Amino acid sequence: MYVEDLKKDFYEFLAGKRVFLVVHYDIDSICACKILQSLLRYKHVSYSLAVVRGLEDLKTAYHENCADVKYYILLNCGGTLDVIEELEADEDVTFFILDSHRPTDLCNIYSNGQVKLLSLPDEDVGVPHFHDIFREESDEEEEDENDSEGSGSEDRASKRRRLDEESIMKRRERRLWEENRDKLVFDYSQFTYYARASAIRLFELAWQLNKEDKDLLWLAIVALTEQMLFGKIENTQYTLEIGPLQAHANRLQNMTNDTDVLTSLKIAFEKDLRLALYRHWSVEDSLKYSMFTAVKMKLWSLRGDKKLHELLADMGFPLIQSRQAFKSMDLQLRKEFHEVLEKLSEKYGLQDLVYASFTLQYGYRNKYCAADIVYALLAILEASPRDKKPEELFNLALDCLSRSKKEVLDSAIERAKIIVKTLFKTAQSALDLKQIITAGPFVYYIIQEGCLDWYMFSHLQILLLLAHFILRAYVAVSRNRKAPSLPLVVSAPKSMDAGTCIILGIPPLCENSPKNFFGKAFEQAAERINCDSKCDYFDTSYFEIHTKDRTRFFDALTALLS
Amino acid sequence: MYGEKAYALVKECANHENSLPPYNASLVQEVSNEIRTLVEENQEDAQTSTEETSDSGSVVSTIRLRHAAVKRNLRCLMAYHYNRLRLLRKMRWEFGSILPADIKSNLSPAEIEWFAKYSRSLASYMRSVGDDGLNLAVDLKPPKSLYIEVKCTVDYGRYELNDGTVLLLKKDSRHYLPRSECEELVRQGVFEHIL
Repeated sequence: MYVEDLKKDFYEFLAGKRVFLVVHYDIDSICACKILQSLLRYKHVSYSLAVVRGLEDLKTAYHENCADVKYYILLNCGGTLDVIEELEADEDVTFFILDSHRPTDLCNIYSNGQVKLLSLPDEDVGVPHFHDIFREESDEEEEDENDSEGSGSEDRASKRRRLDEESIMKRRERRLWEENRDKLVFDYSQFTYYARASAIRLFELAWQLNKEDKDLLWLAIVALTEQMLFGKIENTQYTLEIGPLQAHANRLQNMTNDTDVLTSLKIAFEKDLRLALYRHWSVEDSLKYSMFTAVKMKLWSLRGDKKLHELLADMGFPLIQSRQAFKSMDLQLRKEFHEVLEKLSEKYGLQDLVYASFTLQYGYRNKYCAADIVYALLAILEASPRDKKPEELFNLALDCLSRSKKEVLDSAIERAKIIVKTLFKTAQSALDLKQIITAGPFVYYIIQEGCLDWYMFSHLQILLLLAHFILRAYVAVSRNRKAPSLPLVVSAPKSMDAGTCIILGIPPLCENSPKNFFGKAFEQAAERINCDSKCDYFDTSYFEIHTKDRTRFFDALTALLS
Repeated sequence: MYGEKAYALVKECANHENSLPPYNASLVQEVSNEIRTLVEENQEDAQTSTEETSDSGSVVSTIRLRHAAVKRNLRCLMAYHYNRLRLLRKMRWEFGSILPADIKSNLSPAEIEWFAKYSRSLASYMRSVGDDGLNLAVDLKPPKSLYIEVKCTVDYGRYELNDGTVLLLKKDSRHYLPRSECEELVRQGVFEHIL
């Protein structure tokens, strides 16, 4: 059931109640959580907060608290499964779900008030009608009872014959209906994809309540940028979402009368380059390791290296300058950087290098673009030392978003550079050693245990970035004409002790849409080979199996897709 | 020179503006000795001058000088003691009626006595305010908000709030609770206040 009036049925409804926030472990959720926290604070709603990484965590969090708390808000988790059944929830518990994962489970959509979806109804595409999915079971039984009451033994026989006919018809109709239902459900749940970021939805609520400010807007922007950077939404969707946010930014900027550079906070709508972290790195490194330029110019090869130097020479950037930190470069060069690169982008095949984004500026020195923050958060969440617990990292990520903790952000950006570098190097070695293997209907790449920084890739978002990088790089070098139409499956070791690995599938490049059909395919392949798998992730394009089953699993997948 | 020791005493106060140094009993004693000798000398001179009135003019100026020194020494002693008491009073509000041992060892017996008396009268005043007393020492600055966000630093288990709701305190979980409920746990180190 969708909540139509967020203000009345959600925000004001919660006033004075104890709420439990369950937050998924990703960037959008953290932004959304921060917005929600500040909203709940206005109403003095006391809450507790738990971070979950998968279904198991969600279950433990619920069962530990279900006796005490009756209102749960699930951020980016739980929407894709039947929460009532999965959690064995009591009747007096209410779930508010704001989940950007799609498709939303039908039981949640048609729940009679226990599950309340905070997203907009039109974000769910192609939801089947209620009567096509659910049916009153009791009809037939009642009729049977009525029949048995009928008296008179002589016409019973004839009646039975007629009944038989009727019941056959009825059964046939039922079978048809069931087939139809299965088909509808399959069509509906075939693809996994992402709807708009939860943080944006919550920012709109804040706006509705007149409680929005620039900090909250910035969170919404970061969440949107994350979706775009990780290829979770289409470019058109990004462009559509960015318009209203730009309007908000202008409005909020004009509302403040604080013009002092030292204290004011400024969100500017600017064109930005698809280069990772270049404001905090050197120009050469950023050009070399960013996915966009690396793939377009094939920078992993010797020839690519030469081409990069050629580009730098064309830009008029001396090597010494382009190798030092961006902020210590000559002012003149720094100012020209954008323009020159934009001008040359055509020549070097770097079309679409420029995209619209936002920058945040406060004080004299602090200028960050939204993508920088996304990378920093990624580094905190997924590339921190392994002995840290997710809760600690979550707290750290929340700190990173508050402007007062600059050192957290800066150290995170340093680590993000390492991630970007590792992505590049892994893709490079995959190409050099020809580890990307074509298996008929798809290509796959397996990250071996013990290869360079393999443990980094047991995290979901980094693995996703790697998959995008590898698929693009593969398409760029492959002689196979079908390459753009092949999807990619990547597998990375998850845990050495348990001997499990993660499998992630991403759709082919030519489809140009992030809708992912691998969720269902993985399930069916696992069914075929009867391996015990568990799908603990909310995003079903990730799958977890035992490493020893992997070869058989891939065979089954090949058979299934061809 | 007269008054030099008293000056040292005051300087000691000024050097330790926010902390309480050990009570400098020896220096205080020396200053009071100086005062005593000055007064005695003055008395002697006054005695002799009344007997021999011939060269009284010179004696008067000597007495005046000594008297000024005595007055100055007294002022310095007062300042020294007053400043210490002021700090002590501030500490009563900060630390409560029981002082930390390292501060207590710096006090003179008279100061300890004063502190006990001050605590007693403050306590009796706090009892008299309102129906059943009011602890004036908490929330000296008004809190910014009634609710605060806290982080749980240990696995504490279940905890019941004043209004009867129960919550589960797990390590690294975050909660947003009424300030009054948290204060005790923050002091125990179970919670950490998140700013």
